[in-house]
Amino acid sequence: MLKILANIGKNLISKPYTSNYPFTPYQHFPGVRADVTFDGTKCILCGLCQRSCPAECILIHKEQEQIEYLNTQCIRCGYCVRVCPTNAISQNEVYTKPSRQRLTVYTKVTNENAPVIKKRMAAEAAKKAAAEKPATAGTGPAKPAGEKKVDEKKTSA
Amino acid sequence: MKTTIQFGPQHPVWVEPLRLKLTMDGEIVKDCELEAGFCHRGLEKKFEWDYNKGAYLSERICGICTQHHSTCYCTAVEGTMGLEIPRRAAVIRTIMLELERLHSHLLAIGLTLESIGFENLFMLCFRNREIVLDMFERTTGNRVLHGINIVGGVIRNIGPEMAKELEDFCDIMEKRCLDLKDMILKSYTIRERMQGVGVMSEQLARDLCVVGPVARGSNVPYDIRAVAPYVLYNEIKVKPIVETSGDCWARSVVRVRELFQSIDIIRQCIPLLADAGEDIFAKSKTLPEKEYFTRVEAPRGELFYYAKGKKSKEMDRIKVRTSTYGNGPGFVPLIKGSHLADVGLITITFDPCIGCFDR
Repeated sequence: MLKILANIGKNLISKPYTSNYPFTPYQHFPGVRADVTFDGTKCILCGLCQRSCPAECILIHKEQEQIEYLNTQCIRCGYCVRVCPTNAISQNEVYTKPSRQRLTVYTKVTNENAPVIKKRMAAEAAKKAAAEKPATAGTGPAKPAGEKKVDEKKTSA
Repeated sequence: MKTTIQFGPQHPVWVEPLRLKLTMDGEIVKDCELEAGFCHRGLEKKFEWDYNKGAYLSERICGICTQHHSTCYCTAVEGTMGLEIPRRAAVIRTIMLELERLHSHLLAIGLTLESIGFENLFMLCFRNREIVLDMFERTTGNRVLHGINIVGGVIRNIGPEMAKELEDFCDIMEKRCLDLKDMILKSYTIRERMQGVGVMSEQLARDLCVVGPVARGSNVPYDIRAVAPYVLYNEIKVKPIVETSGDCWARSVVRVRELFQSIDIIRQCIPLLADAGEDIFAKSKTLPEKEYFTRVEAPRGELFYYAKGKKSKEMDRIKVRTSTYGNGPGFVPLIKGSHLADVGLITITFDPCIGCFDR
């Protein structure tokens, strides 16, 4: 009986165990795993993250030089962060709030060292050079064929 | 007059779907038919892909013993390729396994108490479990699906600061578990309700090959940590905790006593971190055409993984035999002859995980 009374007294004085949620926001621990962010200036569009992702939530569009990240499909395992050869992926530490949208994030890759972009820039430079050539030399019908070849290469690669 | 009662698939005692078809004579159950397979997901077929992704998939078999599943899978795959994991990784895995046993047993004890109507103690169990989950979030970054194991080691290190926090956690947890133990073991009401209900004799336990706390509650000292040691249990000796009576009370008491065993093992592991080297990951080799199997003592009992590789990055076959699958045949003989009011209590003391059962 005395023990019960002591417990009652203790419970009357002590603070509530649960947190007053909407007014005191949830404090996460350092190092929690949330969604990932892609760095467009570092990515080389190698596609390793796409192949390693267990949830298949990363789609690399090489033609558009773009990364599509399906946020709601991601399981926050962090495996893509491990396999990335250029450390272009970083994991956030703040949970994503519940949402009605799919929260798909598109990241444009601007890294000039990416093989796909290098090839495109080389093709563009060749095109420019070819465009300048006829003004000086004047050989007309050869250029469009050359242009087409480059385009085919790009799509097949 | 005989009546048939459908117990499940939707029943408040179990969160997951399992169906018992009970033939009743008044209040007494005369016959029982067990039906499972409501949440079959075909995970074993899905395992035939990249073995690195398999560790994340194996966690999704069960929501409670995720670390045990992924450890068992990783050990099986490492066995096929003959890979030795670094010592530090083994220590971290052991700590995580015991933390998980702690939170799973707290959940099982809480649910058992809730099924007999003791909701206050259920809340207290869950309050204690919350500390373990916070510790998981602190060390691995996730509360439930930890994703810390990969083939070849672990991905998160436990540094000196974290080790200190783990020690403090052990102190707090032991104090709280002692309170809980006092409340449960000294309670006249709980003991009267659970003693003598659903008695599984030692002979029956041996015949049905039940595993885990169910077997240990029936005086069968079968614990994989002692019988066939894995990760670090070669060094840390584990003595199986047994109870003799074999009823619902014994099965629950085994779980309560194992809480302290887990805390003790974590305490023994923390000093080993200091001189375990810095490596937490060994680079995995290519998968040879070999087969291997591993057994792990999950909170519910023996967990078995069979792995077969082919000369490719994909696995050829993974076979999973979970602990509830081993315990499943034990439901029927205990329910036969019991009261209808005891059916929920008897099944919940087996700590059934239907997600494991059906895979």
